Amino acid sequence: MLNLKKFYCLSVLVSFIFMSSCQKTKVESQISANKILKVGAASWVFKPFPLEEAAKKYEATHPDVKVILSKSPETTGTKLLMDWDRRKTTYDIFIGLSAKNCFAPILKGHLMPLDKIFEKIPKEKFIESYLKLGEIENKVYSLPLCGEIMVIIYRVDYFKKAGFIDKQGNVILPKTWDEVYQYAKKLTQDTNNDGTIDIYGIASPLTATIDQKIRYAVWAYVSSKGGKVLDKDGNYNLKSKEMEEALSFLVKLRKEGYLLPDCHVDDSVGRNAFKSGKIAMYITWHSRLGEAQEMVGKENANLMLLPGAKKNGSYISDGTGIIIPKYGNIDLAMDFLIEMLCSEWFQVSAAEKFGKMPTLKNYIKNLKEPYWQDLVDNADISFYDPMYYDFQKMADEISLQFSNALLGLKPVSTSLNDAYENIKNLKK
Amino acid sequence: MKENKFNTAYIYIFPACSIIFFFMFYPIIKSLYLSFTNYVYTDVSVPKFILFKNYINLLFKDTAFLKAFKHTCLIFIISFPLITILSLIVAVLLNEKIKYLSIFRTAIFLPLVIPGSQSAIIWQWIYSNDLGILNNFLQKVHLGFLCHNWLGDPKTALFAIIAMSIWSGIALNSVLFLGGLIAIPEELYEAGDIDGTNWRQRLVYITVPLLKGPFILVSIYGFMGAIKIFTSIWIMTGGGPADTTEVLYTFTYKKAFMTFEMGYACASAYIMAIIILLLSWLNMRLLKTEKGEL
Repeated sequence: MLNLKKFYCLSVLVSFIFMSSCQKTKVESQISANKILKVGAASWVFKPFPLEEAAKKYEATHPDVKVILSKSPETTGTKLLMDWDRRKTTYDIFIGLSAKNCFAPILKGHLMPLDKIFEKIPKEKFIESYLKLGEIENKVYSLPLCGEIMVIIYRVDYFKKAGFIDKQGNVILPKTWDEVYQYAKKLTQDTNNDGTIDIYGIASPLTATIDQKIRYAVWAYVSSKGGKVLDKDGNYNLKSKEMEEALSFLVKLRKEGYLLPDCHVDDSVGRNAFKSGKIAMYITWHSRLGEAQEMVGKENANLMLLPGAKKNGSYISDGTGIIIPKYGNIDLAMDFLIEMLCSEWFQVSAAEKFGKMPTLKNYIKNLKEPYWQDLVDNADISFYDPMYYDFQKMADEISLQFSNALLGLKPVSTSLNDAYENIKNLKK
Repeated sequence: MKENKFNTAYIYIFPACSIIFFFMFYPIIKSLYLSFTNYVYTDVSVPKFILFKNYINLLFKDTAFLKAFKHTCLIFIISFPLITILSLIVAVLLNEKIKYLSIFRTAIFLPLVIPGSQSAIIWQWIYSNDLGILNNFLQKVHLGFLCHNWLGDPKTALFAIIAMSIWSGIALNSVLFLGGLIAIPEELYEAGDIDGTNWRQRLVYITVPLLKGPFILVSIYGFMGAIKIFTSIWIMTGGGPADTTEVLYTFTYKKAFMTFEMGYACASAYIMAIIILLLSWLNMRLLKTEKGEL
């Protein structure tokens, strides 16, 4: 009997502690008197983008608003989707999901169209292709925070050493993909004659398992060659001549030993190799230049558009997207997006410090580096992966088959054919 | 009074039972139900009951699953006997009265205290083609011709992972064996000495038969370890290059949390669970002690 009494007392105590922990704290209840804007962002976003400063500025201009910034581990949006399925949201505005991860929430009706922004900032001011990334039925649901475009980052000093210079001492860049191959061949070197290669001519993130980046180099090659990655019905054009050429180009480089051998293992392998001087050319996102220059010196690394890209374009992606769920403070979120995230100081700051491309065209006029205009012009005509229902399955299958070809497990034509067959029944 | 005690007992176990029900039995039943549906989490359409279609697809049509199954079997077939034999040898050595025993024991048990994710990163660096310690070591000892792109080559990636799993598996299993060895009464060895047994005879006729209990535990952990291998593969290769290191767990994870095919993933998880249960049952039958206890 005594035990039962103890049990009841303990239960009451535990319940009391539990209920009191559920109460709002004093600070929180004070805040709740004002308006609260909950901004969530993937952890990495906090480094290149001055979110804290934006929050402070917004609070200064809107004294009745408290901005709560949170770092989120979300990369695929699963947890957010679970919240939204219950008509709840942790954040009023979220930054950190690529447009390709937003298809399901859009279809389920969880996201607000962001077209209200265009009443304040005309649509024409944006780089159009970036807007298209998050667009369904002429409505933009995911606005890129910044843009990325595939380019070649190269080692200026290695080019000079290999004799790729004109009479004035300027670096001569490869103008065709055949020349890129020749450059890679010449730049691959065993510098200390110990029988192992010390510098590889070229690399690219060719991972196929978790992030499926192998597509990027292939899409970029096809686009820059003037080929079509998608056919007129919106299907991936895997049987085209350019597609076979692109994959064969990578296979040839690998087979002959000019491609960094483990750049298909992990995305960081190529990045680290470039920074440590192990590769001369790196086909990757333009914003990787900044981190490379930090390590090898500004004068030793530069970027070039892909051969033919000036005319035909390359491949672009959103660095990350901004979304607004329907279940939060929509007006405040929209206002924060327009006033802060789309503001010139915010976007230019990320561009200057981390090379993140502004999504508004006129912001580049104040950027110092001469390549910005070329990049923006190029982005406007580049290929992007459209919204696709079974995107992950498509990316998985295509990357697996590309990887099979790259590693010599299947001939290029068989890989492309298998990829075509395996994705043809997926929902677009 | 007796009845009152009975009620009190129920009240005491109620919180634990309800936690077990909500966090174990409910998910088990729910996932079993889902495995018979075509439930895709991101899909807007209502899931349909499709009976055994997921299981039939997995076992007879899905080449990716069958490949993952083959790799899992390969890991088990290679790593399980090696881990068991090496752990027993290590445990026997650590049970001897040798100098600096504590240092050796610490070195062997170290993988147990390093989180799996961290040891996977360390091994990824060890295997790195250009910067890895393994290739550098081979070069330093004039075996440069053996240098290899361990994780990048489809022919060696799985074996590189198996080597890592043996390294981590030995730690736990030698602890289990060592516990069993310490529990063997010294008198048995003394009696053996009187009968003139040598080191090998002591091992075969005294040590091994009395380690039946630890053997059962080691083999169950071995089955589960091989089938549940995930962290090291996920971090080191992600299932690649191509799909040469894809195993059942990575396959299931990708289906569940990358393409969100929850019904399909649940069916795959149930196949794994059935395999583990069958192997454990078989193992218990084979190594059953006289009293039927561990």
